[in-house]
Amino acid sequence: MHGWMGKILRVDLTRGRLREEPLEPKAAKDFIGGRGFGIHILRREADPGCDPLSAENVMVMATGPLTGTGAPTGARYMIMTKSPLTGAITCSNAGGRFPTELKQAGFDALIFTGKAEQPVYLWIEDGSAELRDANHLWGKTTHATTDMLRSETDAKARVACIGPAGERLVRFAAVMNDKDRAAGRSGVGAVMGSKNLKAVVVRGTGKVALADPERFKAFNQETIARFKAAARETPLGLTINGTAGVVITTQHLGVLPTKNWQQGTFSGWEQIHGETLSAKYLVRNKACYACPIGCGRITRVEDPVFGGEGEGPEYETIYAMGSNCMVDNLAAVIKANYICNEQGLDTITMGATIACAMELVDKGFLQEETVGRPLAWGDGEALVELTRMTAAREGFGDRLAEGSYRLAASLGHPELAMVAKKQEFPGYEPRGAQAMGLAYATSPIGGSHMRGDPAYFELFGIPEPVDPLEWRGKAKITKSFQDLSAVIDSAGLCIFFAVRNLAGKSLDVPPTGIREYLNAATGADYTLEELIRAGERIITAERQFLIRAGFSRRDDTLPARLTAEPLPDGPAKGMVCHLEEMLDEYYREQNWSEEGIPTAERLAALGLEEEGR
Amino acid sequence: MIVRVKCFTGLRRYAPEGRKDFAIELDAGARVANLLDRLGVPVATDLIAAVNGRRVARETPLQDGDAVVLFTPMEGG
Ligand code: SF4
Repeated sequence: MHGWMGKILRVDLTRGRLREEPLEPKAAKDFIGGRGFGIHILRREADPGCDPLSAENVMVMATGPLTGTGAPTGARYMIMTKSPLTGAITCSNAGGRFPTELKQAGFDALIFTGKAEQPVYLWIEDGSAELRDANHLWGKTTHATTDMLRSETDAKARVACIGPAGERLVRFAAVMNDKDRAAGRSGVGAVMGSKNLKAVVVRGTGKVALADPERFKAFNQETIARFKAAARETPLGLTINGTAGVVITTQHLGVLPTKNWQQGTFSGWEQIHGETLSAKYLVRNKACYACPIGCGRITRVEDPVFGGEGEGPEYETIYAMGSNCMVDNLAAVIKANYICNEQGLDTITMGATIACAMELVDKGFLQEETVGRPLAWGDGEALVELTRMTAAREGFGDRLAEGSYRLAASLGHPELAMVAKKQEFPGYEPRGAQAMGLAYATSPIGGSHMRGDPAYFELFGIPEPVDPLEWRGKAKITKSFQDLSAVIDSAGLCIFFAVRNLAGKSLDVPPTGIREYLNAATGADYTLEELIRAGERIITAERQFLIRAGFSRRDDTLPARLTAEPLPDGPAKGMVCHLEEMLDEYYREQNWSEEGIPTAERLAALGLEEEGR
Repeated sequence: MIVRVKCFTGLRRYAPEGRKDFAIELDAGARVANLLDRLGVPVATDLIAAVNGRRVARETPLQDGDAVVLFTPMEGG
């Protein structure tokens, strides 16, 4: 095969058995790779009703056909499993260098089933694989684990692993690769921990074969030239300030979630935005494999309390731990970010859970004696300390480790958890960006925008500006962006490059450039229609899994704060999110029933009627 | 009339002496487009203009004392 390596490695952790399987060409074309492979495998093999932290759960790590090909940002892999945070699926992806190495070692995807009796790691070297003892690594940080594994396998090996948070089954533990790249969301790290799988270590010296290298090269040169010319015209904010630059946009459009989503603007924003980060703490940029953008930040903080060196923060971290907790001390946010990277925690859920605890204390529903320390808005030291305690499940950290929904519900106030399907939102306020609310409510992983990002058209004006306060007509555009995201996530690309550079310049965002790359790489000869259909197939298959796990329209919700309490400040003052109106329109666009269930004819049209359990 | 202007990131290079924050005198009735013209921002530049906290179109007229913020749309997630 071309683009695809044609092989999947199945790892039965209970029996300690490894088996190679060929990739079926039809499934490869229909589901593309990455996220598509994930759901294709889960729907046949995982019980949607299983306990996510039991041996019954299945975990898939899958690359895309463009991963490792040299296509810009073709660097990603996806981790899909049933989430211990939401009970729905996960869809956590990361770039860096590990995913490319996995393909160079000969595999498109890894399937993990069962549970090892003792801690183990998987060592893959150019097509051969074995499970090895990992007792000596248990309890080690992600950085220490990576260093130790490289010294005992190969200095050039690439590592994806969990930290102590994943071992302790923190419900939002991350899987970290190349030390600081996070497959962050929905607790994929806890699933690894529950399986006693500490790490996957890979060394590969092979190449990804291309179906038509000439055509691939020509299209690649054209794409990069266009990208560079545009960047000369308007210097790319992502390169200059990383995603942290987004604070400027969200603050000025009044959609920067502040004080656990009680406000849409933050008075301390100038202390935490991307320019401040660049001026005070940036050492240099960092790029994933084959990425011309380089949004990664290597930072160093000289500070007696919050000093350190590492990677980050991203915009989402700055919102969750900064404005949302009203912490205007960027050094404290960075310190908490470093702890998350080393302990293997999702920064969004961590920050949002602490913000929720701050509001619970503020409203008198939680006593500081229970927390074991003062917890006022803006307390940077509390942010850092509670992050550390959460990773260790120490004291009150044990309750934070369950995420904001379980914390707030245990105190009788679930309405203060800013979540959809129990997962905390990223940093865009839906009252001032209506489609964002629809994206959060309908995302298969709960509170997330990365599975179809309306910020592009509502806030960034890509491919064209759309009024963020209007809700009519948003369902159709949101669906188009979700379909596009499914293709991006499955091909192995990064959304930051693909939306701007590889999709048509209209609001139905056809994946035109991705099609070019896919066809040159795989020879699968996708028509545009087939590729759009593949995106719809992936999204509908995910929905089908959720329905089987017991989800329906009543779970496609937002907290009342966003749908019933008018935003008190900023440009979107007085607005609520008109979710119900958008939802009806959205189900019609999807060809799902009023209850949000895919219709039989829709399933048949996408070839999804037969399989699945 | 005089308006206060803040430029961020990609647009800083058009601010007088690269300053982040400055005041500028414009003819009465001037629009956002006239301000951009005065600063030498090319018409094709991808940007967001906010006046007194509201995102506005380039044709929007400015008033004395307005606070204008100019920035390139920064994406990310
Ligand atoms: S834009 Fe950022 S996250 Fe995406 S591939 Fe490039 S460096 Fe990685």
